[in-house]
Amino acid sequence: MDEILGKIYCWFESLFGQNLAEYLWGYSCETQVYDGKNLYNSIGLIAIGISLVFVLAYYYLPLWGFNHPRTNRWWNWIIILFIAGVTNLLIGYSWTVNDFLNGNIGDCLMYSRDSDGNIISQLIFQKDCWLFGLSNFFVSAIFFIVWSGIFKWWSRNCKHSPLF
Amino acid sequence: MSKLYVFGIGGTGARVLKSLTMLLASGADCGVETIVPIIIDRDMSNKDLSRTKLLIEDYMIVNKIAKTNGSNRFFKTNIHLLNNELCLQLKDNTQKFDEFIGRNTMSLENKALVDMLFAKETLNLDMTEGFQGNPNIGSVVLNQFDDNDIFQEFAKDFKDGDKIFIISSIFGGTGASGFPLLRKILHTPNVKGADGKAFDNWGLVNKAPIGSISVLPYFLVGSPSDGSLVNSDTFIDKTRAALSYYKNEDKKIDTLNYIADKLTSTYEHHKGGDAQMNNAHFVELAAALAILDFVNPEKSSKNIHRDINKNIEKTTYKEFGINKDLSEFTFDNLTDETRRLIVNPLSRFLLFAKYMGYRVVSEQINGKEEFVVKKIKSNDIFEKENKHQPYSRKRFTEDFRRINSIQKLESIQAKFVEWLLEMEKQNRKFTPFNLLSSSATDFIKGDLKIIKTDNFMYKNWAMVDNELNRQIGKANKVLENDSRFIELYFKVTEELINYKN
Repeated sequence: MDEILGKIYCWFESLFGQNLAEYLWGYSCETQVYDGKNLYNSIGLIAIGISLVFVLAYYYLPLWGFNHPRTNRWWNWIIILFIAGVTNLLIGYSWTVNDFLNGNIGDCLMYSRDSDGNIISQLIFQKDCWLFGLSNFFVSAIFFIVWSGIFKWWSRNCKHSPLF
Repeated sequence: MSKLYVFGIGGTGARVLKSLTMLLASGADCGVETIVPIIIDRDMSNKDLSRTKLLIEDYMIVNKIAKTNGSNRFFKTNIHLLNNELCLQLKDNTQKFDEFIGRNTMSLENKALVDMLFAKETLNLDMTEGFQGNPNIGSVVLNQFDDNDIFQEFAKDFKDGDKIFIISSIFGGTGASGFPLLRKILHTPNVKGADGKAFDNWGLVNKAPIGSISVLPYFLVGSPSDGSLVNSDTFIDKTRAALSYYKNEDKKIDTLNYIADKLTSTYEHHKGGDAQMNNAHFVELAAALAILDFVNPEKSSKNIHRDINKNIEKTTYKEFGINKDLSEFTFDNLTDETRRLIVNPLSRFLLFAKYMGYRVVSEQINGKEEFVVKKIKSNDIFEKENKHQPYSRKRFTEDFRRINSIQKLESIQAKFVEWLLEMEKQNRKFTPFNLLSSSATDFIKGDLKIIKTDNFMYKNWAMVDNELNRQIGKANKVLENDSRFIELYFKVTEELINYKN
C-alpha cells in the first residue's frame, strides 16, 4: 500500500530520471537498500491534500471565485486545477532542489564515477527537480479530477462543472 | 371556492381589467379563487379591449401551470370566461341609433318627439364604435343585455357566496349609462331569458354582495379628427349629471368606490375601433385595487353591511388617494395599505421579467427619442446562464422557451413592463421603478430598501442565480418543468424582495 503513490509518480519517471526516482524511493547508497524515507508518500500526501483543499474550496467555499454562479464554467475549474497544480509543482521542485543543493542525495545516485573515484558524469541536475515538480503538477491534476468527481455533486453553484 | 364576477363596462372597464390582470399575474392577494371578467362594450374593435382580451387569454394559459400546490403566487388566481367569451355581445347589431329606435317606422308625431329629444348627429351616430360620450343613447341601447347567452351563462354559473363588481367610467357614454342599468337588472327579480324561462340562480344574483367603481374624469381627449362626438369639455358636466343620478344607488350597492385625477393627460382623439388605445394610467391600477379591496376577507365587515335578510343596510363609499399631490410619484408616496398590496408583487414580477431579458430602452424613432420595451440579448440572463446553472441544466434548456405556456408567460412579462412604462408616460407619472436599469438590485426607486443586498459574495444577477440554485432543491420535484419554473422563480423573488411594514 505504501508504494501506491510512488508507482503513480513513476508514470512520469521518464521526465525527472531514474536516479532522482531512486532517491525519492528512499534508496541509500551506504546500505544499498531502500531504507530511507519514501519521499513519494510525503510529497504525494501533500499533493493530495492541496488538491483536496482546492477542490473543496472551488465547490463549497463561500468566497468570491469559489462556489459562485459566475465561476461554474469548465474553464474556471481548469484555472483552479492549474493553481493547485502549480502550487504542487513548486512544492515538488523546492523539496527536491533543497535536497539536491544540500547534498542529501546519495553520491551513487548523483554521479557516475570511474574506478579511481573520479566523476565521469553527473546523473541528477537541477532541471530534474523542475521536471519532478512538473510530475507533481500532473499527480496533483489527477487527484484534483478524482476529488472533483467525488465532491462536486453537493455543490450549490458548481455541481455541473466541469462536466455532467 | 368563491368567485368574483367583474363587469367591465366600456373602454375604462377594459383598461381596469387589464390592470387587474397585471396585478393577478404578479401575485397580488386576491380574496377569491376565481375572477370571471365580463366586458360590456358596443365597440368590439377598440384596441383597449383587444389588448385586454389577448392578455387575459395568455393569462389563462399560464394560470394552468401556476397551480403548483406550493408557495407560488404568480398567476395563482384563476380567470374563467363564461362560454369562453370575454365580451358580452349585444344581439342587436344595428349601426345607427335612429334605426335602433325604429324612427323611420314611427308616426309623424313620435318622429317629431324623437327629433326634439335627440340631436341630428346623435340620431345618425354609428354605434358600432360605442356611444361616444352619449349616456342618453347608451341607456336605451344597453337595455337589452339581459337577453344574452353570456348573461344566461352568468346566472347558471353563479353560486352562493359569489360576488359581483362593476367597473365603469362616469364621464363617457357606455360606462355612465351601463352601470345603473346593469345594477338594476342584477337586482330585478325573476329575469327571464330569450326563451321566456327565468334565469337559474337569479335569486342568488339578486342577493349577492355587489361592489363597484365609478371612474371620474382622469384624462382628456384632443380635437376630433374623425367626426367623433366626444368632447372633453363636457366631461365634468356629464360627471356631475351622472353623480346626481347615482344618488339613487345608495343602499343598492354594498361598496361604491370613486376615483378621479385632476392632473389629466390628453389622449389623441379617436371615435373608437382599432385606433382607440390609451396608455395605462395609475387610476386604472388604483381602480383594480378597489376590486381586490372588495373581496379582501379582512375588509368584509367594512365593505358589506347587510341585515339578516341579506338586504343592504348601508352603502360604503370609498375614495383613493396618494400621500402628496405630485406629478411624479413612487411607492414612497403611497399609503402603507397600498404598499402592502402592490410593492412585493410588482417588484417581484418585474425582477423575474428583467431576468428573462425584458426592459425599457431608448430608441430613435422617426428622429425622436422614444422609450420602448425590448427583449435585450445582453440583458437576457436566463439565456446566458441556463446552460451553466444547476437549477436549469437539463430542465430549462433547449426547447424550454418554446413551450406554449412559457411563451405566453414571456409575452405577459413584456406587456407588464410596457404597462409600467405607459404609466410613466402620463402627466401624473407613476414611476416606482427605474425601467432603464439593467441591474437586479437598484431598480426600485425611492427610499424603500427591500431587495436583499447583504450578500457580499454574490452581486447583481449572480445573487439571483445563487438563490435559484439554492431554491431548486426545495421546489416540488413531481411538477412538470414549466410549473416548476414558475414556482422556483416565485420562491426566489420572494426570498430576495420582501417588503414588510
